[in-house]
Amino acid sequence: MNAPAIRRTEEGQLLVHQEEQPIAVSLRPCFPWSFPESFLSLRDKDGKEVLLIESLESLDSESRSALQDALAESRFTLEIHKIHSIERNFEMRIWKVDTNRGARTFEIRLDDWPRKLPGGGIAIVDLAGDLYTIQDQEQLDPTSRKLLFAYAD
Amino acid sequence: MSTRNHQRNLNLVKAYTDQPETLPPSVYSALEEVWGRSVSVQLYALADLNPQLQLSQTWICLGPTHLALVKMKPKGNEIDQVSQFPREQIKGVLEHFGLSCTTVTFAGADGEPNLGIIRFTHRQRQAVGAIIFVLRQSLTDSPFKVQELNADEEYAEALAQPIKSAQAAFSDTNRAVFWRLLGYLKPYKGQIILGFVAAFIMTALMMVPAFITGRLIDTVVTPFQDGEILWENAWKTAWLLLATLVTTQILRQFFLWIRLRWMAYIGEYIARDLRRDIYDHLHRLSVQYFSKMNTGSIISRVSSDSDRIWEFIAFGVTEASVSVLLIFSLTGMMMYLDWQLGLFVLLPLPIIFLLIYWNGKAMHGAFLRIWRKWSHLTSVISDTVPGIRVVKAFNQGDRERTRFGSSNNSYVDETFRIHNIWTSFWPLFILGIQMMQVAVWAFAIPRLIGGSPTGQPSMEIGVFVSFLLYLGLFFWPLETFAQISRMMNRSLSSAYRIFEVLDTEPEVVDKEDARKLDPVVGAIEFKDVIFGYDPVRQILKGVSFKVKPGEMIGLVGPSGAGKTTVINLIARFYDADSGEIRIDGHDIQDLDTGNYRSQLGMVMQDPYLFHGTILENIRYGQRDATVEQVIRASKAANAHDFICKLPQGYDTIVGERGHTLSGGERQRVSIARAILHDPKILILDEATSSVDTETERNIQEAIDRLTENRTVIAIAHRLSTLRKANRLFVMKEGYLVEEGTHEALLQKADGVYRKLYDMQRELHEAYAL
Ligand SMILES: Nc1ncnc2c1ncn2[C@@H]1O[C@H](COP(=O)(O)OP(=O)(O)O)[C@@H](O)[C@H]1O
Ligand SMILES: [Mg+2]
Repeated sequence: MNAPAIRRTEEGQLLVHQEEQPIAVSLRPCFPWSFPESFLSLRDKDGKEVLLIESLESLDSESRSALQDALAESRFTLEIHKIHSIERNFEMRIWKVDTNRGARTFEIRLDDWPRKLPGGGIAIVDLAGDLYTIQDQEQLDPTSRKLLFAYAD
Repeated sequence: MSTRNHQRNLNLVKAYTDQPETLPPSVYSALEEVWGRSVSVQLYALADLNPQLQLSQTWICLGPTHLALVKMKPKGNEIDQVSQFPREQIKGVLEHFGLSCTTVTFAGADGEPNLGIIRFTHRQRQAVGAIIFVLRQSLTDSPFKVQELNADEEYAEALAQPIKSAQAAFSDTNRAVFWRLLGYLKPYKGQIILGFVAAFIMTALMMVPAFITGRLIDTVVTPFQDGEILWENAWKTAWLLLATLVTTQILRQFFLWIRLRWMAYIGEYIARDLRRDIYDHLHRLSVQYFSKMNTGSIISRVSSDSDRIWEFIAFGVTEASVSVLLIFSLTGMMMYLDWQLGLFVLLPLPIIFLLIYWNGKAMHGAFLRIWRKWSHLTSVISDTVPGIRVVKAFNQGDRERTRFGSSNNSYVDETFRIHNIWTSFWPLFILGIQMMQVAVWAFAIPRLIGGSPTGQPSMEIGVFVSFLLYLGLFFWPLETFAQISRMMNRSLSSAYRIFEVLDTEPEVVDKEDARKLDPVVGAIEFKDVIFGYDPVRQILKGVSFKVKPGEMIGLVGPSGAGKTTVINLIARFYDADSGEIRIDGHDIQDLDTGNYRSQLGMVMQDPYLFHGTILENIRYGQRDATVEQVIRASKAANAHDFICKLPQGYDTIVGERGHTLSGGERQRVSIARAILHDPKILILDEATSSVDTETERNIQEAIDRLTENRTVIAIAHRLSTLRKANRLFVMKEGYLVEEGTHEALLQKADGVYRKLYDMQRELHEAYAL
């Protein structure tokens, strides 16, 4: 089997060129946190696996960069840069933060705590299911760090 | 949807998200330009990520003929760009889910470029999902009628929904909740007044001992030592004062007793009233509510939440009022005794409040950490105990012990932090108070012995002693306040949760002049019934059929077709969204639900038995049935034999914590229950799908006996079960696609029923079932 060529259209659609007809696929990383760049499952619109890419290394450079772009989108989370406040409101906590994508207010359940990520840093899931990450707490400003004190080690 | 609910959703979106709670007016005007004035927005949602994945605003607006994407400028409400395309050009909607970003592609015809791509965070998913659903429905041959939806309400509900599921409370109505809670005190007005009067008298009496101590010194000890009064007179006054002291103390404890007891009683009464109200209300609520809420959360509202309210009423309310009163009376007494000294004591008070506040804050952070570690610790336990067989099977005991050990240690380390805080705070705090007492001494000494060697004392020693004693009492109410504010927070959120249940309106309600059918004959008719569990997803898409009294109908079709849903509607667990359901010619919504259901019997796939004996379970719907009737029903249900084999026979306790019956046995008990109930309409929902062939035959016989003289609707996967049915209804994807006798349906060469039948026969032959 030839090495498959993977391309990404301008709208962000991933295509696998294996035989004549390119197949539109979507990307599902198997281990988004533990091995973010390995074991990428490419699935067609019915959810059937077309390809399982064990590592980006095995691909030609154009395919690799196409996948990396898609990966960036699928791994997209809001990275917290600054915490303005964390306030309790009965059964939830309201976080007001600045992220790398803009300012955001979100809520988490009172008894939900940030989760430690395998690669370091922490992740917070809000009520709607959005993920917020903090790569390195030490990089935050003192106020944010103080606010975070109770929520992360 | 009620306007009240909508208003609440709007408030929630405004308070807890940073996005507009409705479509901005500027978007409307932009749409008017392209769609014209008369065109409405059927549904809208926000796509909050741009192609660079920066947070931004693009509104997705669904019109009757077009889909528009309105991109906003980064700041303010100005429109950046409007793009739109006709809905009929959309040939597919592709979703791709990332960790936090969903990408949706509107695909055009094959070979054509995509019409548009939007990206958004999970927060928008439900709102966008509604639009996608409608678009996908229009691709099928059963387009969804969007006119019935209100775009604003759908949008706000979609955004508010996750917040509402996390929390009943909404901060705006804090005070209202407090007053409403106090409203529960009303029936106990008399007792409450008694409790409060006792509390106030007790507080007033607290002023007495210190005062009398001072008087003892000033009118007995000092004058006698100075030789101003005689020994006898000194004793006379002393006896009087001591007697007053004893009386005061006894009275004080007496009133304390009254107060504690009455308030504890009242707390219990109110907790009882709340529990009764919630539980009563739960029974009025429709099935819908129970499928949305988890059992644990309902239980905790009835039990632990009402318990916290007891605590609040019994102690919180009185302690708070007593503390306020105490602070005022102490201040008053001190000012009365010596205003200069009084002011001197009161001045540092704000500092003390601040200290308590700061300490509370430091403790709060530390407590949160402890809480976090503690929940980790308990989660290790609650994770491994139910899974203990897996742990043992894989021999992972050591690892689990290590995991628990490290969590345990990390918790203990965290507790040290809090112990460090309070152990250093309290000695310091007390030292501060003692220093204040020393300062009071230093301030008072010149006045006790005179400001100069020749000066006269301007203050009596007894007054000073009383003063010191009052000062000692002063710090008690201060501390109480700190505790009460915590208690108050907890109880208020409990009250919120309770009131949330009480405020939920049942979806199925009887009319005022509901009709009682005595008896129900058993004719059922569906006319164009449309129904969905939630507003956007239709499950039944226009179902019509007629069932004659005494007929047995087999309802078949692939799983998910909507069979159980049809039955839920017949039982009136839900009301149809449109169309009509008629029982004996009467609209089901005009019937008295209780009376109607009492003539309805159901046997479910996974029947529920209550905790209690088998006898009680069989008699559940028919309390007055005789034992003979019970045995007859059990025999008819093929249950009598296995029940007799149980050591305790019909008296065997089953249900939770009781004897475990197998699936087939439970089913037969529930069939016996239905037989005894003797319903006019009998519903069997996959009553035989999870049992072995032998048991199935047993149940089948029981069912055959059960079907005489009544209308029966039976759902079954194994078509052989339905051989006695007069007619078969075949359902598929929310439609009734075929209907007729077994033979007639088999005639249809490419019919759904024929296919099902052939498939089962093949299976049968292949596995010789
Ligand atoms: N309480 C509910 N809330 C929301 N959706 C439901 C509920 N019950 C069933 N559904 C959905 O309705 C559809 C039809 O379900 P059901 O009537 O139980 O199918 P059947 O009994 O034919 O297998 C399914 O897609 C199911 O997911
Ligand atoms: Mg079902």
